[in-house]
Amino acid sequence: MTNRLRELRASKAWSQGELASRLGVSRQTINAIETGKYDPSLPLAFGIARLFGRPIEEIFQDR
Amino acid sequence: MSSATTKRLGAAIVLVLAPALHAAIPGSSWIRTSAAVAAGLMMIFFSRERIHDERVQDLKFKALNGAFSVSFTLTLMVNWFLNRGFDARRDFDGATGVQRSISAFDLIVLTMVVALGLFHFWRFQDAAPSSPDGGKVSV
Repeated sequence: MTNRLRELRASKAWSQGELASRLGVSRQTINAIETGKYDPSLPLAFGIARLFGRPIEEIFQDR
Repeated sequence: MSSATTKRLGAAIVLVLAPALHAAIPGSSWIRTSAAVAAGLMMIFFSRERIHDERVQDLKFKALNGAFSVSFTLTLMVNWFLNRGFDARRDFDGATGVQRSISAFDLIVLTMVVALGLFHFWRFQDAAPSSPDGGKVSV
């Protein structure tokens, strides 16, 4: 799965730590998602979509 | 008890209490000490992290999975080298008290050490940026 998390985070000028605290996860988890090492669970993916105000499929794409 | 306290207590058991009791009790065997070490290591591994999110749970499960495979393989190999075979009746000689096998507590100690190592290595890798900009956002 690929994602546009880094790009969306950049558009808001947030650091990984800032995004992590908004989502209630650790900075390492955000880095793992951005680098494609980890695919988030549905609740976390929905949380990310809600935070950026975009549909989930616009952020996460099936490879 | 908070997770940090559980972790500290586990570390204290492994680093201070178990070695101190081993030294203080005359004729103390490694089996008894390894039970305390195993308990301490389990307290460290199974206590919650400061931010205990889904990635931590995922990595802990993966680490435990990998650690069991590694420790079982190592145990089988060591037991084979100690006995030159897999005869369970010879693993422990009750008459002489000579142990020719790794105990269950040793297996737990080995599993926990490998699991903790794998978990922290993967957590360290998660923190490492994979791009030249280090994951920083230009403002």
